Amino acid sequence: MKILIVDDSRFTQLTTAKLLKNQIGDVEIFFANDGEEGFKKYKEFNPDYVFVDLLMPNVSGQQLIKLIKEYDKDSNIFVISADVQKNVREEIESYGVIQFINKPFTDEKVKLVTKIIKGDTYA
Amino acid sequence: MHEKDLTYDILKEIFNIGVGKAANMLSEIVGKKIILDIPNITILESKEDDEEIYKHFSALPQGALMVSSMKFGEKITGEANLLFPANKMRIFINLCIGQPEYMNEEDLNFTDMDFDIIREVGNIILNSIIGEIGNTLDISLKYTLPEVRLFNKSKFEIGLKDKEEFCILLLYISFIIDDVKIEGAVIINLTIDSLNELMKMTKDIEDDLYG
Amino acid sequence: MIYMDRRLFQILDHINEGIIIIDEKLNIIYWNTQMEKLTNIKQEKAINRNLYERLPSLDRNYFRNAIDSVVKKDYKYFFSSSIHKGLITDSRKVNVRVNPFKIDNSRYVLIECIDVTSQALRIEQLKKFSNELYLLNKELKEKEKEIEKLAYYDQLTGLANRTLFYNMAEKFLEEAKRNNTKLGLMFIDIDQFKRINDKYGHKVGDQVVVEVANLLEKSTRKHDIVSRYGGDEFLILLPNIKHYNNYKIIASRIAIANRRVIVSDDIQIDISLSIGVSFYPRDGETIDDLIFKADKAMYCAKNRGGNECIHYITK
Repeated sequence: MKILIVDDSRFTQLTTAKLLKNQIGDVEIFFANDGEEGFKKYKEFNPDYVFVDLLMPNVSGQQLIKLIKEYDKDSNIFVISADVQKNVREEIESYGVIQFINKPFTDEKVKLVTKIIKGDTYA
Repeated sequence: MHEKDLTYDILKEIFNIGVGKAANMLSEIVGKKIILDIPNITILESKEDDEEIYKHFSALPQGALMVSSMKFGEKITGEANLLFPANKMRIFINLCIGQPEYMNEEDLNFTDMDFDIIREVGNIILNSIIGEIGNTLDISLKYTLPEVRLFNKSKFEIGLKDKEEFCILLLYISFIIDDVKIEGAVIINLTIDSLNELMKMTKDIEDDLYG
Repeated sequence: MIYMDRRLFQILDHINEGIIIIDEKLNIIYWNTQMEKLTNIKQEKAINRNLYERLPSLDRNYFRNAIDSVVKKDYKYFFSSSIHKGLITDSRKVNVRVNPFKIDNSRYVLIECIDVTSQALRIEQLKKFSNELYLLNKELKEKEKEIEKLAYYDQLTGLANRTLFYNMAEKFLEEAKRNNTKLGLMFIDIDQFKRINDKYGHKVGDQVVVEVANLLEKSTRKHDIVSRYGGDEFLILLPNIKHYNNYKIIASRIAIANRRVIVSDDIQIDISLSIGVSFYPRDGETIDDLIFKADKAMYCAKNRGGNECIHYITK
């Protein structure tokens, strides 16, 4: 399985990767530091799942999600965001993402994510 | 410390999450969307020369400042100050109470009720930011409710420099609410011991991640 | 159930602020007399009930989250009466403080309700007063401007009057001397004005003066100063004239402007103007010199039949 993590924080990239690896095991992880790099890597590696932060320099998370959805409407996107306002969440959910997750990404939250991913895989 | 260091990145992300939570609560209270910006942090230690410290302070908002200060303690001890330029506070206060006023917006005479509003907002922002340090490092902290004061910028700088053996986390925040851009700063004074403790704990997280 | 000395509760009953104590499960375990006064809910009706059930006004998402952080993370909260209307009661303005405390490993939350209605009222009055002062001050400033206008502007035409003309003329002359530039001065007189007045009356005369004022304003450049010198006489200051002959551009604009004044269906008056021009430094060193010479040139124009603009010529 291939996962792309797009976040301007190296810390969040690493914790997200670590939590996912612990749960899923066999997974290849790619990183991008902003929306622009994220879109490039999406096209390059064609990952099964993408984890996107919202508040990023250059191309924001919102814009990245739109770009990916235009490019591949079947893409699987999780949003991990520090901006947890209700109207932000509703806007993002209208773009057709799988799940909106409040930062910080924790053990508890990764379990929910893996449940969704495994449900997908074995369904 | 270099901006590319992971410790720096961890702190930045902690503040990012804290500011996000504060914005969420504020937006629920005032019923308006808040557009956030990416916060920027700087760490200053007293061993750095005055010029360096002055350079950072000169980037703070100019003129009179509205300052909310909250103390916190136990494992990490210090004081967090939230600074907003006073001339933006009149508009902000009116936004909070949803009441347009025909009073001069540059008016810097604030009533007790106005101070109460800033106390509440300051409390939410500082709680969220300091609280997020506690969350991430998994330590419990004790807080006081903030005190709000109006400062002249130069007086505030002198007050900070008087403190010996300080180190400062300087965090610039900016947000837009109802088309009004408000730029402020959070200044966290830590004792040297507390900074070391904080650094040790973030290093542990770092080691854990790479290990 | 919390063990507390009854006497402590009795003391809290005499405190001048509303006190609620709840346990971790959000059940009310104490409700003081001041709370009874604030909410009209008796102690015995409050105790052992759920906080939100008893005070549904507190059941707001952010308040629930706040209480949650107080219990779990030791946060403290402050809710100001100005932002949160009706948090405790609709009839009073109440500031609310929320603090955690711990006894024997059990967690409790202390909710203090501070009635600030009278302060709020006083502040409202002060604000109203301050607003009134602000408005009064604004009004006075506007009046001041009007008075200033009366002192410097001609009431009939709105043009600069003599006083303002001399102020500006001195300023422009100094500038011209300092920067070695030329300053032009036009002296304008309405031809046959006395006849117009005698024939149609002063009201029509005034109308003609106003029309001429408008015509002169339209024909001049942005920084030129048009002033009414008196009666049917106008003076125009032309700062920064590059060549002495350039006044002709303005003169021709005045010449081609519409000069027909329609008084009524039957009465139309075609106005003509006599204009004399003089210049610093060529014709004089002072404003009085310049006025004198422009006036002379204007009389030359008038003697040649009017409706003409000529510049002063040294004999």
